[in-house]
Amino acid sequence: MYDAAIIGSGLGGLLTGAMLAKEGKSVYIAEKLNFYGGRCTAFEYKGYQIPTGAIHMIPFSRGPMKQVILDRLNIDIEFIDGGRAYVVHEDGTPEELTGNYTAKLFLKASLGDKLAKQYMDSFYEFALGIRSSEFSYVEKLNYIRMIKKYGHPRTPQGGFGNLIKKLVKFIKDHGGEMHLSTRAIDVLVDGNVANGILVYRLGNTEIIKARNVISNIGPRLTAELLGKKRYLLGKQFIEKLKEHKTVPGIKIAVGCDHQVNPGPVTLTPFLKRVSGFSEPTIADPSLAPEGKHLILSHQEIRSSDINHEIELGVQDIKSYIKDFDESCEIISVHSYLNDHPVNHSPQGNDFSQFTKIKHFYLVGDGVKPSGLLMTEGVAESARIVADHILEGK
Amino acid sequence: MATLQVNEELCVGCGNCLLICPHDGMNVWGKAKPNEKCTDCRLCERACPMDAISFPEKK
Repeated sequence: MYDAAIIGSGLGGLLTGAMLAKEGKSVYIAEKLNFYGGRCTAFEYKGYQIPTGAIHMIPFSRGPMKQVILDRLNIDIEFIDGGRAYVVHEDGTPEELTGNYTAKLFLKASLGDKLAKQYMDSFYEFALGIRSSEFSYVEKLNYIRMIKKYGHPRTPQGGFGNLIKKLVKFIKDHGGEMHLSTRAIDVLVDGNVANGILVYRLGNTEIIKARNVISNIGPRLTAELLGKKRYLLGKQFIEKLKEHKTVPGIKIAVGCDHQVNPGPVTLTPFLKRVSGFSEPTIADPSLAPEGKHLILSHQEIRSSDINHEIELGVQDIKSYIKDFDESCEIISVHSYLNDHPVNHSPQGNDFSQFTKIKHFYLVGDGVKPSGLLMTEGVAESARIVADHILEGK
Repeated sequence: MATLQVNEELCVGCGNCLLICPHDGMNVWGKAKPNEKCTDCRLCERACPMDAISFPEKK
């Protein structure tokens, strides 16, 4: 009997597992794929640390990621400050995105200023994957408040691949059991209390009994996993699921002989598709071969023709980097759709971490608390669930 | 010739197969497509989050 069975080893599953294991709880983590970290790790490819999703950026310097990983778990990793985020004006001049400047833009945009709205849209698209018309004023306000409260982005030393490696080691060092190529095929529920999972591993099915079950696979796949038992999740959950859409996007990884952007995060409101770039090598040069820079674009998807969308992204990048042909090469192209999205829930339209099934919880980017984007929202959802379990409720 | 098959309806083009392939045997641009360097080692099959990669038995 385990204290917790965790389905999926994305950042949410690993952080929850690590917080529980640190307090002496026994955890079992089932990962379907043959690597840990899901959309939050990276692989070396052509000498670059290419992310499976998360762009080597932790949104805030003092947010939940820092509080959980550095302060609470004491993981030995540096969150490197590569400088502030920037926005590039139409004439090509960069401007530092301080908390005050962002707040000013936000105010102007909410008063109807068109230009400010265009800036904020690129901001939301880059950070959240959605446009301002797609989420509420309250959520925007919460988000802007978080930026002022928690400060500017950081890059984990060695990138997210290194962070995931350290988290996996931490969990194993604290007695946690973790399995790759192990697929959860059912959740065991007695009445309305979850008490384990069924996994398929090495050609066999195994029953994993557990006092708590945590799903890190997103709301839709969680419901699918429960099959006929999904109605136990509650009416609200099922109703919400009917209108639920995940957030799509495209990332293009570019290698360059020189630094391209003014800072590790740069917004580009005047490009057609690409809303911004991250250049994590400004913070940590080890993420690329010596002397090279890694530039990751982010763009939303506005039509169903993915190849066309990618072409438009490439055009944007070529118009943005003036000497592209001489100094740059496209390393890889990554699309995020359906059940492999940018975010399982659009910001501000997240599901709750709690369901009507007792001892059954959700963590990850489908259940981000208000105002907390990307990895910060994932970390906070993990902390909420871990604390709830540790308080023995 | 590789027997690897990509189910284009399931493939989202995430690029996990490209990143994990030790043989540089995969191209991804919108969708995954094996190239002539593919050795059928099956690593990508287990790295595909969408279960879009399969290796039908040779007849």
